[in-house]
Amino acid sequence: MNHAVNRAIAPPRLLWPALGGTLLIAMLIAISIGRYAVPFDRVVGILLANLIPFDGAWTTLEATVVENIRAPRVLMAVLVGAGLAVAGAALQGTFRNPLVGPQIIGVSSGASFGGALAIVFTDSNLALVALAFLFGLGAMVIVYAMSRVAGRSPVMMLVLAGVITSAFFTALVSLLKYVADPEDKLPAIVFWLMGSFAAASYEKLAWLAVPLVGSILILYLMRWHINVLSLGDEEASAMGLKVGRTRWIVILCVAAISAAVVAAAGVVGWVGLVVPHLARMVVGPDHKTLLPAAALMGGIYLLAMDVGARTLTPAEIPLGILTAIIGAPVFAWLLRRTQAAGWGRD
Amino acid sequence: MIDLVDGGFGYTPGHWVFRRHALAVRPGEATAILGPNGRGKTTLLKCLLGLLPLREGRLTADGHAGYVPQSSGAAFPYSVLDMVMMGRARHIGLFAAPGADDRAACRNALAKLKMSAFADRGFQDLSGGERQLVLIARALASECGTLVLDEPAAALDYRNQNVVLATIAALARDHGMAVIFTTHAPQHALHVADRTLLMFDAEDHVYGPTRDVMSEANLSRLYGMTIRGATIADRGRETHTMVPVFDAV
Amino acid sequence: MAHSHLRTRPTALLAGALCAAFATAASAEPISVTDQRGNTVELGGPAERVVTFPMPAAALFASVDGSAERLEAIHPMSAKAIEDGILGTIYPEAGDLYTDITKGGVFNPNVETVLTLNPDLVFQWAGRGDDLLAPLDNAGLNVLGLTYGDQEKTEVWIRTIAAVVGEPERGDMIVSLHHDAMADITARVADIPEADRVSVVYMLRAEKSLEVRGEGSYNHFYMDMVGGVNPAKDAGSRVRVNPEQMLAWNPDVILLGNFDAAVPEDFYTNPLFAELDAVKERRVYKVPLGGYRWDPPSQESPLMWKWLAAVLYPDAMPDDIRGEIASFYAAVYGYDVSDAEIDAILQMDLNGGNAGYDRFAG
Repeated sequence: MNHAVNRAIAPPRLLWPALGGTLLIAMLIAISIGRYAVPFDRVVGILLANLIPFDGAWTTLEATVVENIRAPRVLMAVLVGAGLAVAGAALQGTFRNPLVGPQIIGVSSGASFGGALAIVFTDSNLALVALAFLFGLGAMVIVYAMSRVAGRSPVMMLVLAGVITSAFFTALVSLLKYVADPEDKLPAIVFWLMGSFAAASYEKLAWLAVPLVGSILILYLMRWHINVLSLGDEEASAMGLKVGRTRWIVILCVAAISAAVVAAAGVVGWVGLVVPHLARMVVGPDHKTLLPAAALMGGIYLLAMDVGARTLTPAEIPLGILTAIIGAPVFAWLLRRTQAAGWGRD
Repeated sequence: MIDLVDGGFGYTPGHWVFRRHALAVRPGEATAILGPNGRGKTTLLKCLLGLLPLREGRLTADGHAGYVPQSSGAAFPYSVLDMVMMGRARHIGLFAAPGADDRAACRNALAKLKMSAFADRGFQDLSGGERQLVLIARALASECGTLVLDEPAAALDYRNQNVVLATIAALARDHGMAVIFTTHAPQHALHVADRTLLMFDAEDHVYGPTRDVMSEANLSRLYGMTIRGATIADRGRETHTMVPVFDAV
Repeated sequence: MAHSHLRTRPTALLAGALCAAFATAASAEPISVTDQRGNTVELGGPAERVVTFPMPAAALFASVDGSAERLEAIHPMSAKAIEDGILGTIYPEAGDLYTDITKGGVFNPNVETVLTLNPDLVFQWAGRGDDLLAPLDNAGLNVLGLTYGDQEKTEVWIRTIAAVVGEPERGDMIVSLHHDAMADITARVADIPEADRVSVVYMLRAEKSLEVRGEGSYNHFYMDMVGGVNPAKDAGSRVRVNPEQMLAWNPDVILLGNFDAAVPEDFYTNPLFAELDAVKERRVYKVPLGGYRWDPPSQESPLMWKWLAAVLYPDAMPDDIRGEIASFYAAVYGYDVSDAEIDAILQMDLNGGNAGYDRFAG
């Protein structure tokens, strides 16, 4: 009998204040550190002055650094971290498999291709965002079409379709790299693919928030039905759940999150794979608590990584590299710890 | 209430798992389905539940049926109450979460089965028999008129079989449900079912009152070996049962 | 060389003398050149049919040789660079050169295509993987491998090219222009006290991302040589940074490279950079673009150094940059560069409003 289970039944009462508090503290720390030194008291002053206007002893430059450079970036890291984590958690529940992350449905590969296309053939940032989003969702449509068997989409076919679509778009990206101007376009593609929040701005945050917050909300509203999905297709159908439709809504939300993230910041992987596991270790598998916990933990996790990316060296360390280098060993450790406990029927 | 007339189904064209099968289960009645391994009992159940589409014939049902699988395929460990709550899926909107009504229905279902004390225990921590009762409670929580059980007592020891069978019988007789269940054990049918369906092969079956249908000849033919009937007197009561006579070794 | 039978008349004698002159000039004196891999190539005489893969090689070759006639085929990106700059005007024949020897952004040779061109000499990158060189070597072609990077290597390139076209004095002349410029600038800058040194950052990219150059790059070499202080010195030879790091370094001067379309206006109008000294003083300059981009090492590098020195230390470098450009172009290209062309080289349209740039005006 699996005794680790009992812990899963009721998460500690102090959990939400603890997680929420940690996130806020993390955000405060993040906004206080950077390559340009701003004393902590001035940071606090600059932030407070937004609520109660007053004149403080800080320079315009310091205010610019805190409010225009660091603040949007901190917010973006938290939002993207939360989005990817919730997407990963919902996907793992829907597919009943701990090894899936948002990449599995092929969307991030499609979005990568769209963005690379824009980089090679245009100079427009708008085109980059639009094409990344377009091809990301387009990849999902391809996956949908490929996975249909007699009017349904069995899980195995979905995963295979996702893998094939990913491979296809990855190959197309390689082709683009080949024809790209090696002095200008090629490095731009390579950098972009490695993921970064260096170009964060309030403008970007505004359009990013729409698909991210919207999708997170929808997934949260569906939290109970994701639980039912975890019974397996047949049992869930017998309970009266429309399995196909429910699963596709989840996938659509995950696709929206994935495509938007790639459009905004390039490829940031491993978050959607690792954070749900961490969250499950703390609060258990009930998506009612898992999804919010994943969101909070995802925000903290990615924020910490991005702070590292922008402060450890003068050079910007690409975020996607950090999340992979740290994420992979963490994931391995997690799998050993839990020994895939509680998973099992497939 | 469930009524199947001339029902036929096959997974691939030209092949039939069963054909021209009929059965009718009224509220307050229990029907058992027997057949050897791989005959298609579970397939028939899935058709009755609407999980698989009939290729021939007509199925009439009074509302939805509550499904009790042999065991739950849940990928995660849930509490008993959470598990029972899943039966309410029909009543909870896609973007909604369980409410007071749903919780009341779950507690009622557990109470009906005298399992109220188990509500906050982990589902995986229960014994086989207790889990089976929880799955029955889950089906009841869906407010169904018909209960469909797949080999409900199969993996249980005798004591648990006793409990589960008594529960099924009570649900039919006292709570007016229509009950259908598959089983490998002829004694279960004899004990609980008003009518029994024997599935000999795709086209060949027999359906009728249990006593009439469960003859030594029929059962021996069904299982391909000698089955003999026996009557046992115990505490002033006579129990009729069917036992397999294994080959001499 | 075919012998022509001429009737003995004065014009015939003159013709004969000219033929003889040609014959000696183009005589089959073998040329032996060792490339930067250490391989030696033996040519029967000056190279007549040259194929170049490395991007800067085509422009450099034409400049040293004084024409693009010996070039049979060049890298497609070289063709583009030539077209975009003034060399397209100086050597119009360069525009028609064959470019299908490789595809896209790589240098991997299509060997059979190269063979059909029947070259007597091929230039290719060395030190970037054997896939680039081996197929050419194995096909029996004369291949000179070039390694990229600093002033020394560039001078080797110039001399090598001068040798293979049979005009080593051209190489000497161009290299001495480089040395003279370096000596002159170094001497004048040596007197500038530490406190007056100007900090300068070179931005390889400033449009979609921010990339700067530190020690180990050619850009750092000349920024340092002309007396500038590079705050990005220890950050790495080529690094990507974020806006905050730029604010932390706060250079006096920012140079925008020719590898992307960033312009000074981008910095002057970006609220994030409003507090930078370079922005406040209007000292964000787009690097000039002459016969080649002035950012990387090229034949025109001395002009880059002089221009940069004048931008950083106007008082110490009162030179007439326009005059320098004109005389350099005459000496190296034999070309009489016009005022309008000089304006284009100095990117007057982009740099016009910058501090101290009116002295560069015509």
